Amino acid sequence: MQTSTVDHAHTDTHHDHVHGHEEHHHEETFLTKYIFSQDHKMISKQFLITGIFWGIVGGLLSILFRLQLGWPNETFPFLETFLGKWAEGGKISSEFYYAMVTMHGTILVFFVLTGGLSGTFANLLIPYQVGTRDMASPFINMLSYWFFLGASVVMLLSFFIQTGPASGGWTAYPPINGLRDTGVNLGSGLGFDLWILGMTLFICSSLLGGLNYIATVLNQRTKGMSMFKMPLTMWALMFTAVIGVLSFPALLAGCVLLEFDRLLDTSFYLNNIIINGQLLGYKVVLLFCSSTCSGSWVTRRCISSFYQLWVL
Amino acid sequence: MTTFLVFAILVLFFMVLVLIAKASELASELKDGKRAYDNQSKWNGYFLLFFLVAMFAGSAYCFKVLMPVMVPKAVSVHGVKTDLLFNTTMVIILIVFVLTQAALFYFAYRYNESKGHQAYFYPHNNTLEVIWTVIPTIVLTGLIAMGMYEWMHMFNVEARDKKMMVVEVTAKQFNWMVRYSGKDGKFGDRIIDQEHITPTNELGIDWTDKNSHDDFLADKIYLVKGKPVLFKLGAQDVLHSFFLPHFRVKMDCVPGIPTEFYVEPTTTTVEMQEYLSTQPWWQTINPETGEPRWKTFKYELACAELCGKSHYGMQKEVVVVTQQEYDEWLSKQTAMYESVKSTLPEKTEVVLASMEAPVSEIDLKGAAETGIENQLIAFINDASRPVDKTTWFSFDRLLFETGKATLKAESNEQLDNMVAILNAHPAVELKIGGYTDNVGKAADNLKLSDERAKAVKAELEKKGIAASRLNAEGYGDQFPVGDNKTEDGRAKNRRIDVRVTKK
Repeated sequence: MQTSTVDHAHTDTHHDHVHGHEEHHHEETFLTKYIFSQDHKMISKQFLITGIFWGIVGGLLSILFRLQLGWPNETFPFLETFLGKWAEGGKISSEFYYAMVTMHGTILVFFVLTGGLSGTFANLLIPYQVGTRDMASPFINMLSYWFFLGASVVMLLSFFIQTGPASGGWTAYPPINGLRDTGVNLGSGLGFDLWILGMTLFICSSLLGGLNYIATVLNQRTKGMSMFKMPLTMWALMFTAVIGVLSFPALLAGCVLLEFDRLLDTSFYLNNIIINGQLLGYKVVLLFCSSTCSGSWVTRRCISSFYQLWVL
Repeated sequence: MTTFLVFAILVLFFMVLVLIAKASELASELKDGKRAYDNQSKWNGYFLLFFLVAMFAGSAYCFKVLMPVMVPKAVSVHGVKTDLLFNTTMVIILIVFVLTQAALFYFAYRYNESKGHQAYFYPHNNTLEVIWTVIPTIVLTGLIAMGMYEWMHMFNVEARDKKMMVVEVTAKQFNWMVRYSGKDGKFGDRIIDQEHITPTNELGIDWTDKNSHDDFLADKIYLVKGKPVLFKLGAQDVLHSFFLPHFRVKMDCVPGIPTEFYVEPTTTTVEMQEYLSTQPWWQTINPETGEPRWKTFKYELACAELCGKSHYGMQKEVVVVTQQEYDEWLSKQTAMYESVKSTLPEKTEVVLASMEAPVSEIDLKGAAETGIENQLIAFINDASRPVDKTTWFSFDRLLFETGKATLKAESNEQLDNMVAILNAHPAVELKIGGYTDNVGKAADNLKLSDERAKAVKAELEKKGIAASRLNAEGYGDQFPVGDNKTEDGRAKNRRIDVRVTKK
């Protein structure tokens, strides 16, 4: 379908003819044009607006915790108005302070810089600069946004639960995040489950988007545009997508194994640690031996540094 | 609620202002037919130029105000080099920063959009691209090489001073446990299991290991000026990070993965205070104490890895002193063993008590208090310790000729003691196990260990013990008791053990 659209694109009659079989093409409803849009420009605007929303939330968090950091002995009664039990007496509690730092990191790194910027500019610019009508798969492009929105909703929800959002750092290292124990760390309870769910959805979104960008840049360049005649922006966006596609699945695998440790009592990251005087040893040994613990941890640390270095 | 309303009113007011500005702009466009942004790009240019100046002035101001407040000079040997590396990088970056930012903003001002001016299209220049790729590559490679060189020096195990101090630091939520090895310079073993980790023994120290008896926990980290120290780092629960900012030390503490850092302090706390008393910012009065800041200066250990709600409180004071002061401090420390001695589990005491009684009954020659003879007697006499397959005792004075299964003459004394014990307890039957280290082929090791175990059995038979009471087997390099990576450990692993199979 896509190929024939491109082949016949130069004549309007053919263009209409080809699309004649598709429903709602000429009379787009509000729903198809603005909500479930498959148009790269609209999707890029959707990413932009969601990204800006997250930018404001992330920035606000950083203002709040820097207020506490800059004037550690002052009280700010308005904080209690907004944050309630997290800022009793106008001082941000240490637990919520770390939750804000964690969520600020997560939001800025993933939801603003990766989702917001890459989603907006790749979607807008790739079809323009390689000279094609739309992405290789507009439908997958739409899914990419909706997974992003799903991730956003889950992440936002985690602010409003009783134990608060994830608070063990945006790098999500075990063991602090590997124990589903609010005694060890308040945010390691439901907050971190939601964090992992949100990240899982986000990574799906990133992969769908990234594969689409790569496919479009490789296959849908206009006639005469070789890879080396391609604008530098395209190279940059393509490489961002390639690195994302390489590193995000590993991150996802790491996250899923971590959630196994938390919910299914496996022992990928946790072994021989002492919590409240109790020694946690092996619980369920799956196919992996205990060395997987350190191995995966190191892998994840490498991946996250790699990602910080090259993508952001 | 009032706060929220005030906040909402402010936001709405701001939005109204923006909309009014926008409307007036559109109105003027309709009236004059002049594009609203004709003047804008010129003004944008001015603003960018202004921003450039403001940014440079701001950066310079930050340097001026914040540099004196920052962590003062490095007080470790490697720290001085780390600082040099850091400063070199900083200067290079600063030069590039000033040049590129100045060019960026100046170009935006100089070539702003104006009517009738066509942008010059300049798509490609190989020479330029080569230049701006090659120069940064060379500079960055140089910086990385310098860093690698320093890193290799910092972690060069061979170059370490053999007389260094060793301090063991274990992190947990939310404090640091700092263990010194006491007068003997040896740490007692730690056993990480549920039996040993108790509220009074958080580190799981094995009190049966005599080396542990003079180990002590310090409330401050005391170091000696000019004497290198190796920090052996670990964590019990979650990740922590051992951070000594003044010494330029930072190393993660990971449960299950031991890490270490070698550092040589160069300045005592008192000397550092004297140095700081000459620094302007440190001479200012601290409003909290009412004294000049340098007077209350302390070296500090902090946690640098988010580890939970009281992460910020994981601090400890570090004190650098002279050798004489250190010795004085050392003599005032009380060993952990002193305070836990009375609380040790009864079982240990039963063993100790039963250990003493029979010694006089059986004539043992040259047997150490904790030697195999007394351990064996204690085991045989203690009814609460059942015969099992895991309780083995190691001979400590049994020697073979290297690579052969021939017993040396020195072994006779201990073998005679064994015979005496077996004669005193006629019901006891023994299994003799032979073991080696992991040097050489596994098959050869297995054969040698088997021959050695059988040689011991034959020797005991020769001294009058019935063959039916003895059994012997070699296990090769299996079941090591020491670390095969060290010579000490390998020596421990080359051994003959016995196990009681009936009593």
